[in-house]
Amino acid sequence: MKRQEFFELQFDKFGLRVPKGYWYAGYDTWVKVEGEEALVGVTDFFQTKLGDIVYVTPAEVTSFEQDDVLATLESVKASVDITAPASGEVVSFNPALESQPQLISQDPYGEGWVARLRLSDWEADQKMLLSADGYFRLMQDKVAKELERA
Amino acid sequence: MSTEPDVLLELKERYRLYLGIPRHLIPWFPTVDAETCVGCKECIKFCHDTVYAFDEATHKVFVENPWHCQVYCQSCTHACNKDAITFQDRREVKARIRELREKYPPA
Repeated sequence: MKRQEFFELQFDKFGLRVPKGYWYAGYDTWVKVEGEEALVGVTDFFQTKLGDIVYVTPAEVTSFEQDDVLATLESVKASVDITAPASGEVVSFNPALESQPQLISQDPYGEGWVARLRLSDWEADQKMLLSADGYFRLMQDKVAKELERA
Repeated sequence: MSTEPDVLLELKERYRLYLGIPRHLIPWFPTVDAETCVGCKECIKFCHDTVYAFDEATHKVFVENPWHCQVYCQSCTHACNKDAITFQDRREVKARIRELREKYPPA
């Protein structure tokens, strides 16, 4: 990934990236639109906060509405639900995550994608999402809160 | 009677925003069933957003800061072994947020 393609914030020893060209939900998931389909996943901030991911359990449904529970991630720290940032039919969940859930930690915006959807209401869904710079500002606030707690 | 700093803090919290919408207008927060809660505090340990607090008198957890709850996060339910925590229906909340988005369009 070239430097100009993402925003980045240093958090402790981590560089938290927010790639441009993706859309983001306030609850730290992303959508990358590819024609009528889209990949969805979790952000760098989310996976960093969660720690090493050991198991991914996709929701047992064939389609989602935006804001539905997409999957449950179990990490060494906790078990958390992740939320679908867009509506659509499930084309597939990332099969690689069954044996390599750590891909989410290693490459959250690439090989660590969680699901591929066939978008069903993108025009409406997009209005509820943030661009990369909008999410980056939100993430800065979240990081500041994390640092206050530390 | 509240002191001035308390009032300022309350206002700050009251107008905390979610997607530009005043957070307190969005009905997303947990409810703890006091009958079921055993006061184990696992939810307090889990939630970094200080939503929960412990009542020393009753030895139960209660929701102290509902508007600190991250909209659509309900992962604390996994931390509760007694299933004492519930949330509103996501679809109803989503419909409400979409209505509010019309009133509070993105900046």
